[in-house]
Amino acid sequence: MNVIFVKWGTKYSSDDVNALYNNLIEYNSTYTYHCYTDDPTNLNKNINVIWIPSYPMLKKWWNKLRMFSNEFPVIGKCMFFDIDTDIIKDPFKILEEVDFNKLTILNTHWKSDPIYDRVTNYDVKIASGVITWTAGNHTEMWNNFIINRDYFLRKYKGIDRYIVHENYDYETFPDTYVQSWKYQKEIDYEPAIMTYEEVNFERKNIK
Amino acid sequence: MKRLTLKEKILNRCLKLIEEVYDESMYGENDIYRIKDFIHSVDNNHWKSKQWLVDEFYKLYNHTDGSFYIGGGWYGLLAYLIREKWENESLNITSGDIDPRCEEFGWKLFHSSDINFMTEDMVSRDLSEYSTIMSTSCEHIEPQILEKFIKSKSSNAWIVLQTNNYDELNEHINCYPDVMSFANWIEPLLSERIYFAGTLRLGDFDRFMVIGK
Repeated sequence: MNVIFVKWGTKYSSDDVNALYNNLIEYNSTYTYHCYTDDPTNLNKNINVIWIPSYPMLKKWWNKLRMFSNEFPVIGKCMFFDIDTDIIKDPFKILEEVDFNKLTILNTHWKSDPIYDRVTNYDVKIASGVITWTAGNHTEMWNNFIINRDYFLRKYKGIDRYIVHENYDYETFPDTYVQSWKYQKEIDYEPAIMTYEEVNFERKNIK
Repeated sequence: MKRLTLKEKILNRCLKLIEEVYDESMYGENDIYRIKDFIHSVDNNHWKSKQWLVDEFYKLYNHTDGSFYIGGGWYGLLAYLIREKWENESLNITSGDIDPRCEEFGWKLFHSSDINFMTEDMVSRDLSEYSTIMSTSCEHIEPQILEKFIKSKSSNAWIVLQTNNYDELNEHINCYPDVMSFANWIEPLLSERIYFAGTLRLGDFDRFMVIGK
């Protein structure tokens, strides 16, 4: 099993990646942990570094889509975590239920406002904060993106919208897997992870 | 009745395209964002930036004929403004863009301007036959691709390039802080020298242009 983080630019630090890594190895230290990054300085030495290439150049979260490139140097089952994820309980237990032949992604079940269904804003009810798949599958998502990259970058704010509105198939994790820090202040279940959805994430302040 | 200005004529055609895309989104391909893209492509900032290029380059080029290649030409506004300035039919204009719908809509917007719209990567063709190659989309293009583009022109051909300092957008991957840093990057790649380097202030950001050989 490959566990993958993507760190581009300066919004998140190597300390943020190391903190998430330290949380995750409490639940499984036998998996291979990778960080796909343009700057591996100060990353924990047990995290395998995969360099983000300078071409084609992508900013921010769009580098997550490159994990679906044929050239992404990982083999086998993969689980991706956004760096702004807090681990509440064993996040790997869910893998017993996951079909790795499919792309599985978070269901943002807390989004109930009908505005999310409007065609013109391209919003979606999924989030790519956690993704599971098998490396080498779903490469059409990258291949089609890169043919007309600039248009997709203008059209969609992020890869979630690209995945849904370009009609790629996906499954979702059970609703009880995740809690939204931004939208779910109180819940009646015990989630495995907390997602921050681009809130100004300051790991130290939240803890 | 008052005759439409050139700009009004193009904006009217743009309205018809918007209607077409809306209708298509109801019954065919849902690409309603294309409407916003059309509007951006003919907004005041784009119009001013491209007219600035045409006016400055016209003074330097000093010929009525030749062949111009536009890389990343979008829906063709630059090609159109060039045609308005160089009315001589012996000036050939090719506008290439990797987005296939740019060719389709470019023909519809500027069908009477004798522009050759192509769907292609700007470094995929032999550019040595052109008397001028240009791109106003440099902020969208990686430096290594831009370098290849510049180096592919013949030694006596003109190069006209624009970028900006509007770094906030995800698709803007090659911005510069000022025109001098843009010019300094281009100069070593030229066979002659830079003939023009200037800045157009557009409110929230600046557009930079370098013309050389």
